[in-house]
Amino acid sequence: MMINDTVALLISNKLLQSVFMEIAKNRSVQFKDLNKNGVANEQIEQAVTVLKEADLIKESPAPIRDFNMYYVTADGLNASRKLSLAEGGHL
Amino acid sequence: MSDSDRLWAVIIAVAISLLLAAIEIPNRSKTSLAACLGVQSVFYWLVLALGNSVTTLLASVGVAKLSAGLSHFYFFAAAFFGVFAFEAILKNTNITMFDRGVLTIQDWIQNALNGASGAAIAKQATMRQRQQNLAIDKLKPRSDQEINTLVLNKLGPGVVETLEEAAKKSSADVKLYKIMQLVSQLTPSEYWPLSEKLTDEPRGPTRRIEKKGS
Repeated sequence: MMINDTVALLISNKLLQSVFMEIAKNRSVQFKDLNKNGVANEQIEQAVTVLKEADLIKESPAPIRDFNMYYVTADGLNASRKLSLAEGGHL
Repeated sequence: MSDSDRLWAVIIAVAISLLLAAIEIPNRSKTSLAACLGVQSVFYWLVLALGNSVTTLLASVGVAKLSAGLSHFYFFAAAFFGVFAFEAILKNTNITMFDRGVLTIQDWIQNALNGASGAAIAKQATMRQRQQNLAIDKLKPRSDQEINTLVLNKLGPGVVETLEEAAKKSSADVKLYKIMQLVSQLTPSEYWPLSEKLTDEPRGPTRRIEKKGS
């Protein structure tokens, strides 16, 4: 997926964007720390699956799902930069 | 300015590039310096070194026109102005023509930095996971009571109940959940002594007999 398509995908889906930005901002986050706004775990799980498929994040699995670690990739860092530029009106 | 001065100027520029890479990669990736050691980091250093060397050689032409009294410092001034030119001007340059990037140095550098940072983040995550798994394996043999005491001491009152509820909500092993929370909340220097204590303390006659026999 091209980086501009990825940024468009993130802009079009608020949940996807907030989950991605949480991971990108902290660089790595556990599953349980992604669910701070009372969103259903299934929705968060769907969002991380889409982000993993887009190569924006990777998963480091743990014995319990809540402790699965998600970390941002190089593509994710590039997308986060583009997203910040886009939101600032530069892209 | 002699060839020897130019060579020294380039050597200094390459050394400054290494220093800058060692600052920028951990800063971007928010990881330890140890996690940043890798092929992608070397690649980023080489990109910086190449850019800084070229601008240092260009700066050496201008530096040679400075006062003759400063000739002993020409090599240092060339490196200083060269690195400054690259870091302050060229690194922030994106030239586009007809909406197409033709000299997008800023993008190249950012991509190289993000590549090195991404590799460092992945390495740190793997290292952390491995350390945590070892600590979890060492804490597992402890009794529920001991784990609860550790959670109480290290994470504060009321946390045991909250974790038990969260584990039940996730249909997870309650004891493992508490151990994992303990290990994920503490730094390695905090949880290693907890797990080490277990192996040091004699825990019953069986253990004592094993020690005598060994």
